[in-house]
Amino acid sequence: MYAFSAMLVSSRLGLALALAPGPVGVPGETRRDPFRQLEETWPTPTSTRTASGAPGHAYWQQKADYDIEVELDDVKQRLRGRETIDYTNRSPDELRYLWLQLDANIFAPNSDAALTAPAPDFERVSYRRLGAVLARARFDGGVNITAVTTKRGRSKLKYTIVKTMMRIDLPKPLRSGKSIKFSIEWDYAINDARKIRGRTGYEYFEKDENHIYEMAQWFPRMVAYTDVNGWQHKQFLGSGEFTLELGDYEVRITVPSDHIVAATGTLRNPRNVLTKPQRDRLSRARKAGKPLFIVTPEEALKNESSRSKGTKTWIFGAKNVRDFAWASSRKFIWDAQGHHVGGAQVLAMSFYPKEGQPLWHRYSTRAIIHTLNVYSRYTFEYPYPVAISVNGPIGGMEYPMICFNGPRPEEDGTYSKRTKYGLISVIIHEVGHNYFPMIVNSDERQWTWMDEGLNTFLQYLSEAEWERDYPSRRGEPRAITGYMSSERQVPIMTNSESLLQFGNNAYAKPATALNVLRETVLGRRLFDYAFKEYARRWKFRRPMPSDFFRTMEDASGVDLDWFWRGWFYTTDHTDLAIDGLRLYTIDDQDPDHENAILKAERDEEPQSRARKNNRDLPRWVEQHEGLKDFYNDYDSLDVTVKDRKRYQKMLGELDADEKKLLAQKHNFYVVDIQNVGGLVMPVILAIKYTDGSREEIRIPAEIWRRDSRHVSKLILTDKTIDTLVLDPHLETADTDLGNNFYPPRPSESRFKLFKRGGHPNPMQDANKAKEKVGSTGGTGEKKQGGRAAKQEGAKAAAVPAGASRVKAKVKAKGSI
Amino acid sequence: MKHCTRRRRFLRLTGGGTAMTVGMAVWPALAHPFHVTFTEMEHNIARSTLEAAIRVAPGDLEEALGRRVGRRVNLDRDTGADTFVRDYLRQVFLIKTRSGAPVPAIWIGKQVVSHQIAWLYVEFPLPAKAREVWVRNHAFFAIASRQVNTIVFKQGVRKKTLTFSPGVDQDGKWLQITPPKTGGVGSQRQQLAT
Repeated sequence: MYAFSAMLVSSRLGLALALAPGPVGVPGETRRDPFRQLEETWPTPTSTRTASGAPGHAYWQQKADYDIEVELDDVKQRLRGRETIDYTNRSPDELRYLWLQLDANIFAPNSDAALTAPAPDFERVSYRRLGAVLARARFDGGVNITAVTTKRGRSKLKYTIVKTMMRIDLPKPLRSGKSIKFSIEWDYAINDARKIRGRTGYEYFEKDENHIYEMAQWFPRMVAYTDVNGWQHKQFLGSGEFTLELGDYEVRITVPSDHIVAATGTLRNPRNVLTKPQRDRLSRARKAGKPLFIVTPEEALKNESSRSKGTKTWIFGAKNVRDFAWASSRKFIWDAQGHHVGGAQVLAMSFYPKEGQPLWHRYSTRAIIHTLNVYSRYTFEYPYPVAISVNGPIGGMEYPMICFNGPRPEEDGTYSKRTKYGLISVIIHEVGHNYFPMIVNSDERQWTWMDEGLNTFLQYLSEAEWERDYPSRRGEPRAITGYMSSERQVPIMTNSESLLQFGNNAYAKPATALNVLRETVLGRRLFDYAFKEYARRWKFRRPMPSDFFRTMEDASGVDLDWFWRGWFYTTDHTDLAIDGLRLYTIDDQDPDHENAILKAERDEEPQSRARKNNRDLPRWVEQHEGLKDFYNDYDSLDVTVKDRKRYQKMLGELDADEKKLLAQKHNFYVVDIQNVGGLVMPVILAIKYTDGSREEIRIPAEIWRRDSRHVSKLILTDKTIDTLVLDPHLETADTDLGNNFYPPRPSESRFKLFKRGGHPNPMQDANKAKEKVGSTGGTGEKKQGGRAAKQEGAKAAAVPAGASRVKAKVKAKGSI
Repeated sequence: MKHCTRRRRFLRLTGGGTAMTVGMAVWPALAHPFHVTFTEMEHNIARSTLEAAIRVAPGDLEEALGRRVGRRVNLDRDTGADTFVRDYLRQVFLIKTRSGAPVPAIWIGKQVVSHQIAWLYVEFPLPAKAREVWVRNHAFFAIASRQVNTIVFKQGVRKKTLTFSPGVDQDGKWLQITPPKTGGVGSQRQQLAT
């Protein structure tokens, strides 16, 4: 490796290094500034929300307490309820009317969700899909509001239903600091969740003619009234979940007396609904080292064939929750284990039918405990007395203290690896939602990422702590590159209903962004401190996106506006490319030294074929005397006395420091990096030198602050660079690794790697063999990206021909 | 308006009998069931083929295959699963040439990476000098009403994204597969990669 030559010019005025070529940036170019501050986009800080991202001194939120009686009709699959809401106006405003959510109206035939749903693909439709389409068209699950009155039916209140919302006009304005109690009665038909998908509904088991009910969004709930939006007026269209007020609940649930009920909160009347042995088991489970059965599989089986005519009322109480959900069935097996999270005791419990066995008893309750341990470490101690996971028709949905999770084994009790990890992942995810958004009460109907993104990030951390090489789906930067490089996207900061690819946009991308922030931009120490501070500040409060962004900056002490702008406000992607590498060495101006180099360079220049063949031709001037003169022996690179004198004179004019500099033997490498994808990211360069040694340079993203498209970076070394690799640990979600190498390497597509490698690959074989022993079935080649990256690095392409001996300042400019 | 006809169209129902219950084994992922596929596609000029790596959710695939063959399909255990997948892709992932002739997909293989990700590999042999193809990916349209299928076609530095979604964006699309004349860099890289 060689090249050259930067002139080191000395003068009395000082040293000038003629190294950096060209101006930085293009003059007159209008360009986006990725570092432009976001304060002009974010809301102006107020007394309720400070510029540091914390709740302000005048922060307020409403309180809604509920007293509910509900009865489940297990014959007709209907629900009838009556509630009294105690609503406290803590806002500084006077309220003349109240808004409630009637989420069950999403199941009305003419709901906005039904009307705006696109047509199915009728070119090819399955029986089941057609069945679902017809079932949905015929089903009316809308709410009948049968009474809206002042407390306990004393007098009627005027109300107006607006699709999934209801306005109640107050007889007199509700002044700041005052409360009002009012009652509502309602009933509705419960949806068959297998046909009419939602977050609630029942599942029917043909074989034993039983149902599992998972009841959610089942009562009229107060719409959030906030300092940011006033009443949250977004209709329930299905994607944006909810925005709710925190409050206390007392709920009486009447079900057939052979049902087992799981619900948000603490069971107030175990003596009335549980047998003595069940109550004893429950108190033993509190101190048990593993999950104990409260209702055993044998008891559940017996319950399945029972058809009780009588009813029982289960009473639950819950403090400081934003919602209340429950589940009921004859089929439930119930296990529980007590666990200490910090200072508080929590009872982790699972409810599942025999169809969930043996998977559920093995993993559900333990996965709950694991989730509480990890999440509490990154946020705050779990503040509730119970944490429950229920198996039923809902694939995965979260409510305070309780969540619904779908995966089940095969009928013969075996299960694939995918089902196993699917179950553990979904339980971690849904239990994890207790932290975001149940306790850190973000606005789900507006910003899905604030709960799904943050929760998926913590899910990834929890999965990493469950077992080594856990097959996490989301979180690793390399897993998001396909989506990031695609064109049809919207930014993360898009309303829930307008997201184009929910999973990638609201789950995977923000989770990956937070991972990148933690591992690559801030480091774990700064990130974890700031993230925990965000959770602490907004525990049982209602944060907005800017509160998160501002807190992360305020507590980490790092300006991250560029990061939020790029990852959350744009659809740019990471694609950094090595555009070239130039080597400069110091010209010491010693003619003996310098001319020798130039001569050597000249000698190495390629000769034409004709010149080569002409080499031994007899020459006229050799054969005849008197034809040669001075110029026949003159070589412009010969060193003359005059040259040496000039050099000595130059040396004489230098002071001692300047002489030292001139004697430096450093190599000045300039690596040119292009930002193809638009997203500014840290530049991570792995350098391998020809002597075999290695070095890694980590440059913050601020390197892009003056020119976000091209930068040049100096690498000062005594060694010779052999290879350069950008993003060597695949930590920036770089979407095209093909341009990350010097010398350039051809990039191979996933297709070509697979085809070349043959199939099935050895890892799959090994996994299969292993799994046969475990007799659980399933395969799993875990590290596709790792394998691909290895092979990408395995073969280097030839350096483009003709780039080596051109006498130019640029030695080898890799055309990538 | 594309079809201004009152002619009745017939629904073709797929997967009856036992297949009706197959779907019960598949669970929507988390609180928002979302169904996406992602395809990386390149034109191998030297071999005159389109090479496609298609990322799918194994659960979706098993459900779709189960409905086709009338019984439960397990990607990991069924020895015939590859044939089912190939036949399914030939039905839903269509490539046609300018003459309108369909190009049958050649099955290369599959990798089940995790419980959420499987990659399917197919290639489509094209007539020499083919300059554009008609592409349509209706994978899983019959089972998920909000399915989004994304294809990213890469040719050197040129990139083109196609998306297909039931009812919203489901028509086939023409895709230019030879680089524009100005795309010298693209063709150079393409040769490197082949």
